Amino acid sequence: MLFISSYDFYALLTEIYFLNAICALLIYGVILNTSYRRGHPVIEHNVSGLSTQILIVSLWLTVCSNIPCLTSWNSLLVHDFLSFGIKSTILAISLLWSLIIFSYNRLEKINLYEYWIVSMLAIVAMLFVSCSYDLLAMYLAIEFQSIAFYILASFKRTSEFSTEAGLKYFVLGAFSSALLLLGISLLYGTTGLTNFGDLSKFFLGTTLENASFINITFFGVVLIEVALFFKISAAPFHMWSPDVYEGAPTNVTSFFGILPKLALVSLIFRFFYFCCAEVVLLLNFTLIICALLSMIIGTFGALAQTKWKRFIAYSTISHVGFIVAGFSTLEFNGAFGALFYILVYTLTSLATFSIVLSFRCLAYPSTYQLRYLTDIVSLVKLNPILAGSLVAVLFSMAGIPPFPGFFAKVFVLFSLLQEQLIGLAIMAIFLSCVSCFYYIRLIQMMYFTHTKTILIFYPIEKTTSTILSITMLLLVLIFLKIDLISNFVHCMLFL
Amino acid sequence: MITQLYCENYTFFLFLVGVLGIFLNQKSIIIIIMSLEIMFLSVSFNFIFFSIYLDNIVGQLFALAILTVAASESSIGLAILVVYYRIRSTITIELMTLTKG
Amino acid sequence: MTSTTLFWIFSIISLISACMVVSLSNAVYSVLFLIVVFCNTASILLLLGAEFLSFLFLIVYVGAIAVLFLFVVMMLNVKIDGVKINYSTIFLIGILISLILLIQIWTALQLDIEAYDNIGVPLSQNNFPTIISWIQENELPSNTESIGLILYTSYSLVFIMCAFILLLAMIGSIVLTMNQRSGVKTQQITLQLYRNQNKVVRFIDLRKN
Repeated sequence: MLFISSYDFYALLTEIYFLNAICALLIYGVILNTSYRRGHPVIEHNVSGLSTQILIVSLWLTVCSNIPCLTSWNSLLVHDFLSFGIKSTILAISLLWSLIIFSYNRLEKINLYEYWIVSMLAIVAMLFVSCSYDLLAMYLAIEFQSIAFYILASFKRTSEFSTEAGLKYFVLGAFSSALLLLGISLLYGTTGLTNFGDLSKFFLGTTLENASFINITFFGVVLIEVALFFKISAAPFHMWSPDVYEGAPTNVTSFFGILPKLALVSLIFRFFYFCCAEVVLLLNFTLIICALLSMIIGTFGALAQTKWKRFIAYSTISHVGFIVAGFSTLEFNGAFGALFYILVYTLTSLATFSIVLSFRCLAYPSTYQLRYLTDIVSLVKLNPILAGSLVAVLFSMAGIPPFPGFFAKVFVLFSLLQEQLIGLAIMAIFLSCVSCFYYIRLIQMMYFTHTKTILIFYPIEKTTSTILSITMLLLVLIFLKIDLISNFVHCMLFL
Repeated sequence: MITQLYCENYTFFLFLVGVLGIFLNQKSIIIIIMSLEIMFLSVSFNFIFFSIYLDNIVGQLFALAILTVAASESSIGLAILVVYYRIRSTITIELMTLTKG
Repeated sequence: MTSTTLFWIFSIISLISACMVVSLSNAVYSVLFLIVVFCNTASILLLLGAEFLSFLFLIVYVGAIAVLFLFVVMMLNVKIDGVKINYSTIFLIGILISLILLIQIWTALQLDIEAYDNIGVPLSQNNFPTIISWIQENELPSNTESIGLILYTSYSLVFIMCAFILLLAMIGSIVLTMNQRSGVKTQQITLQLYRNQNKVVRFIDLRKN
């Protein structure tokens, strides 16, 4: 056979199993949910357990596969160490995430089993994003992921916040997809190539003195860069993320905050460092400006926030600023720093959301989710372990040793200093100090503020506390063996 | 004969009308979704023209994929709009200020 | 009429209709002008020689997407009268965005297009002397055939991913908008089929009281 080989199916083994399992789960859900004889049972908890099992099996399939570093499906996808690392990380983190959401769905009475079907489809889309090697595959995978997120953001259809957040996310997300498409069309139209490998060979030598240069191709690359920065909410394209994070239900916000940035950052790395390596040398200043703006807007925006989810959204923007700063060095040390940072950020946000999702207050006869930052006063009296874990998470985000956030910031700053981007490094350090202030303000609220009345907290569920303890162990003890993560990133990048 | 300049200009003007439709819209959200469709249409046209000009079939395949994705995105957007309308009973833009900032 | 004239006609009509879509206050008229835009683009594609995609645009864009828009516009009862339009902000932002996009594109186009000036789309109206090999003319794959040659073989992953995107859109629309009601009277086919024909109609004499 000329156009397809059995290696193609081996390269996509995880995704094939995953998609078949989702279809089987969908059929199972539809048959049971619409069955009049069984009384239309609510099978959300059942489907959540089955989806966790699907994630376990696909994680095992991914981790145990051989990696021959070849392209598959007519060079639409690539199977190398970077895609292997990102795929296994996404599956492991989503497995831990699904364990947090078990109890939340039951308490918030989200009875639709399609929540899990759409979330699983979004995870498959992220797997495709991380291994795409062609402009066509990249576009289809990004659209797949984005459509799943539009549905999830407006999932609670009886809530004004949720539908408005979904509508805003849809409009801005579709606009950025149209910009991405225009960029891809200009790139394809002037070169006739869509494969990343072919484009990298095409762009060889564009920064030499006498090389002929095509302005429209450059404009296409700029448009693709703008669209990709829209998707990871880097400033100045960050407008959607605080509103969407706040409006969406909290389990969906946790999904947004933890997982998609990992896949998109690996795609940005492949696009900028491999496909458009020469062109991006001319775009250096745009990356630096985006990094600077993200850090400034993220830091000063988070200072003024009073609600939990908007606070997390603005601190996410400042972290993304660090990642873009790591990419702006255009050296592999910077990419190492950026990928290390995104891995540590994913772990930290998993811990953050497992804490935020356990902030439930008792207002008889039901519980409700905490919304305001100031509601956690005197948390140390109610639940000292939860308060201690929040301290660990906040110290890691602020960059205080020995937590892994410190190492992440150090690697990015070292690469910035090596490339003589000293102004950016100084601004980064200054803004980290400012961000320390509002992280420590939260700790002061928990530990040292005395109030007359305290809210009664609902006790944490068993699954949530398991994930909380796993992430706390990792956060607190990983400094002893930090070369676990750094060797992992090193293998992903340089092999 | 139809040259490259004509088709590229046509694409860019249509895309510009779509972008202006999103940003200058003060009427209702359904005009925004229609402007998004105009933008996707202009980019599809660009792909097909380049495919014929370069004698490469991948552009037409890309246009086919954009057609599929644009259809599904518009259906999701209209579904979100319908759910929004059920709660708010109106789809004008001025009242979308619940989440500020 | 030469193809250039037709191209100018179709493109100008579609650009004017696109401006109308964006600026009209009646939503149904906007959707109808959107259909005009789609039809004109399909006509230009016919001129270029991509007949499969042209008819596909008509079927999918006009037949499915525009009809969906009409359904939603009718269902939502969009009333847009009485909205005060702020012309000053429109002019400022509009001119800013137009300038940014157009300056970039025109400078880029002027620098590049000089090389491409005389290479047009080879249509039969051009006066290029070409060698015609009749066997090759008969055997050339049509647009449909050439797309089919790659869609199901080399680029089958595109086909599969589009299928899953459509599945996701279908699940999403149903999840977001369907209201399931219980106690709705539906047909019960088995009961209808088990009817005894003799006992269906009964004659009653009303005068026997």
